[in-house]
This record gives sequence, structure tokens and C-alpha cells, in this order.
Amino acid sequence: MSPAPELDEIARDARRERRLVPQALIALAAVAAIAVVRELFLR
Amino acid sequence: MSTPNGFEVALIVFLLVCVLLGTTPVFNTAFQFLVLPFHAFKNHYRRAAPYTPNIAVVVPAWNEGLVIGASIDRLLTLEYPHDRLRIYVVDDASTDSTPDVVLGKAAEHPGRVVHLRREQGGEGKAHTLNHGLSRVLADPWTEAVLIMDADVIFARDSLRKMSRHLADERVGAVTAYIAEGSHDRNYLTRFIGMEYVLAQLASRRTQNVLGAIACLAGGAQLHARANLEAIGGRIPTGTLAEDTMTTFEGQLRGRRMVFEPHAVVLAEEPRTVDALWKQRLRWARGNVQLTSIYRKVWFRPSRLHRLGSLSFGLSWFSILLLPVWLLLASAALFALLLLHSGIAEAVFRFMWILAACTYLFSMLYAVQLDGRTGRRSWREALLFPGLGAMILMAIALFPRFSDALLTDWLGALTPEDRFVYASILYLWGPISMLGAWAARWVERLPGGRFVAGLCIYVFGYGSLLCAITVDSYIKEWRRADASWVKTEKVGRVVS
Repeated sequence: MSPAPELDEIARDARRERRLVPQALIALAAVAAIAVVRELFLR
Repeated sequence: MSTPNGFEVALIVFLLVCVLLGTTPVFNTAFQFLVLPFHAFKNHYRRAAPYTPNIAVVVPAWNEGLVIGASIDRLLTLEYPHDRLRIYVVDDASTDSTPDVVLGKAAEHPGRVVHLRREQGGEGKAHTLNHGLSRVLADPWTEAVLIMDADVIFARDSLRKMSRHLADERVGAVTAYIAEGSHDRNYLTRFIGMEYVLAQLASRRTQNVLGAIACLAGGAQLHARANLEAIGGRIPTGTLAEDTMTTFEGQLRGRRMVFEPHAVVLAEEPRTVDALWKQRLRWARGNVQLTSIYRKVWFRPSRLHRLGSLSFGLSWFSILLLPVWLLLASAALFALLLLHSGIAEAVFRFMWILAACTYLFSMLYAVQLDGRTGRRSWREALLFPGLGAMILMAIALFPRFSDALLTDWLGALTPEDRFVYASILYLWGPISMLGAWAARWVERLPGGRFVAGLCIYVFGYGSLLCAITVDSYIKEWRRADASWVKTEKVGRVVS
């Protein structure tokens, strides 16, 4: 593999790491939803 | 209940502190998963560059005839310059077909596959590796060394993805994501698959961010030659956790270790509770030994490395002392129940709501990190803490609902009934550990495998790991035989 595609691959993998942020937000939203449901139940 | 006197107040405060301390692993998991998204910005890709050093692959092998051929074949077809990769299989006095298979491959690929034979074996993996290392490091051709297990199958691009980090001279070694790769999975390998997502794709990314790696996976660790030479050109012997010790030694000399989440290596994992127990007991005993060996490292910050940082120490001792934290929290909660049931109930609710939120956040995050494992093991992700713990979380989150259900089923509860009910809830941690321990014994009975599986789903995979840790304390305390027990591999991995 020549350096140019390898550099692209590194950049691509670095971009894939950015997905960690929305994935965290999805998980956080689910926890928040459970907390809201709990509050509704307790009223 | 009458107003507590001064002594009782002091005792209650002490017990509350114990419960809080006992909740350390939950706080640690929450911290690890909250740091994880920062890997999006704080990672090593900026310093990575195309780099293909001459790599000597050292494969320790003892009776690996069923798996070694496929591993060598895969190594020979990796997307890596062929003239820069040599494979050295260190045959640890195997008595099966291992020498024939390796010699056959060596004849097919002269110079690329080398068979190194130890006539006296059985001393452990570190000794076997050192036999190979002394040979490859004596050759100036070697610029980096890949240490791997005989059964693992590398994804074709994985070695290239690992070596690019060695372009940064500060990096001593790189490790990959070891994924469970059996083609015929059972409940236990699905749990292990999920555990590896949590322990590697999540925790090791967090360790990348915080700058200290706990362990380079023994199945795939790529060392710069300079890193191995800095630690004396040998893998430390005399411990059951040679891979963790090698990781520590490199970092103590100021070298950085990197986890590469996109380099995937498939491995075959234990399929029975007993086999898993033996493997994890070795790991856990190794960690107990290292805790003592590095006693002057913990919680002592250094400019050279991050092993002495508060975050790393917290993470290390959260796992090492998991059963201790669990027992501490349960015992304190039970004592509070005897002293002041109202406070105990509030504390129980706080603990389990915190545990529920952390569990939900970490599992929902984890199943997204590796879609393949997430799709295959979503049931095991859901039941990772066990059905019992899930019920406790539901009770803590929705107390009125659970009270109403209980009254519907059992009628009005007497104070004695309530005490028994509360005792079971508060002591669930130790109960689940005993239940998971029982799974190992039940498994040996006729039809026991099914019941053992049921135990793991009810009491939790985490409780099983906790029980193994307790066993490691006992074995280390008794100085029980620490000879290397190999995990049997029969070639179930498909690429």
C-alpha cells in the first residue's frame, strides 16, 4: 500500500472516532428518558 | 424509631461512608464512560503515519496443532510488505502435530516461517516468548516484534493499522482489539464478546485518553525494538500476568502504549464456566501479584508516566478489589437496616439508581461500539449484571410499583416479612457472587451446563468475575500452585 491511501486510512479512522460523541449522546438520552418516566410514575 | 444518640449518629455516618466507598466501582465505571467520548479528539491518530518496519512475529505454541496452521496462513496473507514480515513459532516441546505443521509451513515459505523448538517446555508463556525474543533481537533486521497467541486470526489490515503508531518514536508498543470470534457461539462466549467490548473498545480508549494503559493484550502486542531492549530484551517471568507486567515496564521507562480500536484480531474463548474460571483465575492472580510488585507506583504521580495517577489507581483498584467493595457496601447497608431502616432504604435507592443509570449508559454505549457483537450479544449486554440485579434496579427506580406488585402477590406484609425482603435486597451482591460460584460446581453434574448458564443469567456475568477474583485472593493467600494452565483452543475461529 502506498503512503497516500494509508494517510487516507488514518484520516478515515480518526473521523470514525468522532462517532463516539453521538453514540454517547444516544446513550445519555436513553438514561434521561428513563429518569423522566420514573418522575412521571412517582407523581 | 426513637431519636438516635451521639454514638448511633457516628455509627450511621461511618456506615454511610462505607456504603459510599463500596460504590467506588460504580463511580469508576461512570467516570470511564464519561471520559470515553473524549477519544474522538484526544487520540494518537495525529501522530500516526504510514510506517512498515521489519516485524518479527513471535508465536508461542504448545500443542497448538489444531490452530497454528490457520494462524500462520493468515499472517502470510496480511496486507503488509511480505519482505518485512518473518514468523517465528516457538514450539514449547509440543507433543502433538505442532512441529509437523510448522515445519511444513517453513518448508513452503523458507525464510518467512521459522520453527524454533524448546526441548524442555512447560515453564510458562514468558519463558517460551523469551526463547523467541533472544533469537529475533539478536538479528539487526528486526525493527519491531509482534507477540501473539497461536490461535488468533488477524484481520488483514490489522498489522498495518498497528504499525502506523510506531512512526511516533515515543510509542513503545501498540495493542489491538481482541474480539471473540468463534463460529459456534454459546451463551458464555457471547458474554465474553460483550465483556471485551466493555474492557477494550471502551476502557482502553479511555486509557488512551488518560495516558496509561493497564494491559497490552497478550494475543496481539506490537513492540518497537527499542521498547523491548529498554526492558532488558526479555518478558518478565515469575508472574502470571506477563503481558500486564511488560506493559507496565515499558510505561515506567517513559514509553507510551497505544490501543488501536480499528485493528481487529479474532480469538477463541472458553465455552464452559470451568475453563473460563481457570483462565481468569490466572489473570486475577497475576494482577494480585503485580499490585504488590508495583506497590510504590500506585497513587504517586510521576512526570515520566501516568501509572501513578489518581484515575489509573482508581480504575485498577476498583477492579482488583471489586468483591471487597461489594461486601463492604452490602454489610454496611445491612447494618444500617438493623440500626435505622428508613436511612437504609434511602441509601439502597440511591445506590441502585446510580447503578441503574451507569449500567444503562454503559451498555447502550457499548452495543454501539461494535455493531457485530452488539447485534449478536444484546441479550447478554442486557443481562450482564444478571436478572436479579435488574429487578433490584427496577425496585429502586419504581418503588411504588414494586410495593404494589409485592402486596398483590403476597398480601399485606408483616414487619418481619419486610425485614426478610429488605435483607435479600441489601445482601444481593454477596448472594449473587455465591450463586455465580455455584454455577461452576453445578456445571459438572449431568445436565449441569444448562443450569450453570441459567445461574449466570440470573446472578450475572459480573458476579462470576467477582467470584473468580475472590478465588484469586484465596489462592494467592494460600500460595497455591501457580503453574501455567493453558486455555484449550481447537480452531473455532473463522475470519
